[in-house]
Amino acid sequence: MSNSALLQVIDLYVNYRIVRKFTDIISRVRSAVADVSFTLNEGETLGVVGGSGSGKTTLLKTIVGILKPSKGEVVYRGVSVHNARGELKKKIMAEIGYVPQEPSQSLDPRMKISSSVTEPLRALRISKSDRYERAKHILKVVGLPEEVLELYPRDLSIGMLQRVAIARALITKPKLVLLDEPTSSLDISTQAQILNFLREMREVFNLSYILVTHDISVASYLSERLAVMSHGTIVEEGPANEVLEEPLHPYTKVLIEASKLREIEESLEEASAGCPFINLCTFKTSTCFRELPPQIVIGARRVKCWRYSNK
Amino acid sequence: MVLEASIKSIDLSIGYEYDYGVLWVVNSVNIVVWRNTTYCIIGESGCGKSTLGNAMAGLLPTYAYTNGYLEVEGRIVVRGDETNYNGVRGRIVTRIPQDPSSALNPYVTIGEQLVKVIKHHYGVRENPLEKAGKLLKLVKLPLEVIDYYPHELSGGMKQRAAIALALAPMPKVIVADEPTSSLDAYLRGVVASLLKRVQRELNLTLVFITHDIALASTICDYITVMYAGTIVEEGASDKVLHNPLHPYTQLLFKAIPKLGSRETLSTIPGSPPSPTSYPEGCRFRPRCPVGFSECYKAPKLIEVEPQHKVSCWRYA
Repeated sequence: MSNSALLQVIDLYVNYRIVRKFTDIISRVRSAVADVSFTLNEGETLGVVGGSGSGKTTLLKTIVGILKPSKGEVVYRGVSVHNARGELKKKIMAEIGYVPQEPSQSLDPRMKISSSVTEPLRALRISKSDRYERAKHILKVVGLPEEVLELYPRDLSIGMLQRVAIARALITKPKLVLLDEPTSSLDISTQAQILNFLREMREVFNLSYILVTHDISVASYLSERLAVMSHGTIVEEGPANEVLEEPLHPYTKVLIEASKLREIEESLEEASAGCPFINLCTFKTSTCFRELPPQIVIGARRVKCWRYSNK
Repeated sequence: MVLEASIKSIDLSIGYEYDYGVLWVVNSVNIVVWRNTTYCIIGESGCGKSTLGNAMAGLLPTYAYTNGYLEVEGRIVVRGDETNYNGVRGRIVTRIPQDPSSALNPYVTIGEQLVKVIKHHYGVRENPLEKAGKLLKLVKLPLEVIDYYPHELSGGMKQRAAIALALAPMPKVIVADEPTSSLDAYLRGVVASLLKRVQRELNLTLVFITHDIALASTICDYITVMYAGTIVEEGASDKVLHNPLHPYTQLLFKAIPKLGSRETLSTIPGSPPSPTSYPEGCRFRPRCPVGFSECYKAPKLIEVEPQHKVSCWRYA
């Protein structure tokens, strides 16, 4: 284990139970996140790209501790996030900030911005006057006027709400911020403002980000490393420029094509067994139909594809 | 090919009641949409693009105020404060909704919904069920979907079903109001390609409303850029995309992150004005980096080169 590792996700599985009351007597289990491992170094940004339903949000929720893993571990600076208790747990939670999807829905409409922003501090038992001072400071940092504190979410535009949501994540002085689709509900000009702002914040506070998005060009703008996720697992991971220049996995190729907006027609249907990407792939062999591909390490990159198993 | 106008508007304004007055969210819009082409309306949220789309599709609320003139496939639908969409809705123009899950009836199977629409417009003479099957084939859905309820379909499949439903009355014009905004990047491309293919195969006029410029660039023949209820730039898509003239369009294009590029994105200072407080003169003036004294007067849409119009005093 290297010293600079900030977060390690080791062999993580998160299962949801599908309950069919009448048809199945035994409820089935489906993995939303399956066999995910990666290491995030300090000051680094990892972009997690994938389609809807690929398990990106579940992964983030598990890292932040909202969901419990079914198997595997999330280790923050050598301490398991889910096994920590008491003061240690509080310390870890303060150092991991989380910006949920859709700021308009994650902020309570009945709470003033001041109470929303200071809520994480309340959980940490920080005195009321301190909380207010820190809220004032953090709003200044994110570029919002102080008056915003007395307003309600309905009074603000969506771009401002996103800044408030980021302020709420930054108020506990975190080292790692998890961003769940920070720009998907924004217009282009607001998206550019928020992306530049996130970059600025990273430099000011020396933050690490895990950025979850479905837009590979947004991910490539902020991240040094990219992880492509599909069907609950990371199919390809590596330095952003290498992944973009020479994608190894067929799904990565499709995502890059989609962002260049070539006309795409093929459908991504789930295969019953074996590799789920058979329909996309031109190099499929009989092995691909039978078994799930293993993880193969090529230099700084990791890919799940049978094609590279001999190299 | 002779270009014929499918949708034509002259000084069209649409507004809603606000504080004892009328708040005009779409202001004096003059557009011509040619038949069998794809026409994109680009703009940020709140610029009036959906209201304009609803006016074309006949889905304006009854409390909306209108002014000016709008014609769809030769039928006058708006003249002054009168609107008349009888016989236009459905047979001539339909709309593809933004969020398919809220547009499909959750209690009724896809097949039943399709058959209901076909029966309503064409009766039972031509076997409606067979027609429903053909529509599903057209949007590349498997035939089993006919017996599925909306909740059994994925997001992309739901949007395909919604497209089939919009095609069911065999319209001549389709207004697609942000059909891809609830989908991820991959499905976005797939659905946009599907719409383009359907438009070509069935010789439809497609009005595509979006805030995604990259998507618009791949499927559109003509592009209109709206800002604060007015049209700031209009023209053939290659001209607008390769040579944007209005400062707003130029800045907007620079704000899109490019794949693999890590240069700082340029942003437009400030935020779009709300309809209650539109600035005087050119509505982009307070945010414009190249404005001058002339901008306190409202500019007109003028033709700078063939098939390229812009509303900016710098080109007057």
